[in-house]
Amino acid sequence: MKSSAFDSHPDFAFMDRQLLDVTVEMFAAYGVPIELCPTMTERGLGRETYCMASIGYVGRALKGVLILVATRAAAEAWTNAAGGVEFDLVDTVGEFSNMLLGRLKGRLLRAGIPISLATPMTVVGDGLRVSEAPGTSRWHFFEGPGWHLATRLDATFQPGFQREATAAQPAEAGDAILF
Amino acid sequence: MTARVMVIDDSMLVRRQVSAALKAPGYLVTEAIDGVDALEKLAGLSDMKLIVCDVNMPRMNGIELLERLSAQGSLVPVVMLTTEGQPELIQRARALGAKGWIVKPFKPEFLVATAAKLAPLGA
Repeated sequence: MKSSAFDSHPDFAFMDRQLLDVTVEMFAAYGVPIELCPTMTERGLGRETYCMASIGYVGRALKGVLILVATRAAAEAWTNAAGGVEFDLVDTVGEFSNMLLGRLKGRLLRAGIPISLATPMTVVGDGLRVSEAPGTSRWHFFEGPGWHLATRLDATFQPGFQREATAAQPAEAGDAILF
Repeated sequence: MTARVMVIDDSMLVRRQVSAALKAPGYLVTEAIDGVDALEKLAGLSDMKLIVCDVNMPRMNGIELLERLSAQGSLVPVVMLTTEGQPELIQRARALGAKGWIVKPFKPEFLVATAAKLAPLGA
């Protein structure tokens, strides 16, 4: 699970920074503090049971995947923070991956990079491994109170990719609009 | 008096969050896991006063469900509850008759206030 050439494309570096920001922002919105662990590597994963959700996305001359990996303890903490009374590991990690990519989508829209999202696919297992990304890719590892999580953003930029000149202003998390 | 609300989301976590928020003031809540499940359940329920619906779901997403409800001439107000904030999607939902758009994570008090406006208890 290596990070590959994340700085090889300036727009990927931008997307990657946005993902870092929205990851911290999203968990803070639930009152769950997390810290980036720059020294942790993928070798830290695999010693226990993990749940991994992946969601594909596609834009103009751009496609990729967001992966969110969490321990059971992490997902239980997130469920509690969200006020959940019933815990389902697959459901919780899938929904948080969905919210994470939704927030990233909003940031990218504002920067002239519109994307459309698929729905999450989630698996649970021991010693999970992820294949190398076909394009640019980077892992990040975060630590919460007694647990950790990982994200990986993959992106393949095709010829002709460029940001849109007029960026959109999407509704933000927590916004409520009545028509 | 009470009123029946349908919550449509492929995430159990969200369905339970929404259900808890709406049951507290007295709404009766019916859950559906996607648009297909919702249409099946709506066919057997004539007293639905409000629908709270996710956008990105397998089998039939929230926009496709709005299209189906619009084609059926449904008068049940629909509020979208989603991680999406893309203006084109919001405009599409509005054009299809949606009455509101809430971006997750939602504040329960906002959701209850929205429900009270569109489907008042005791009306």
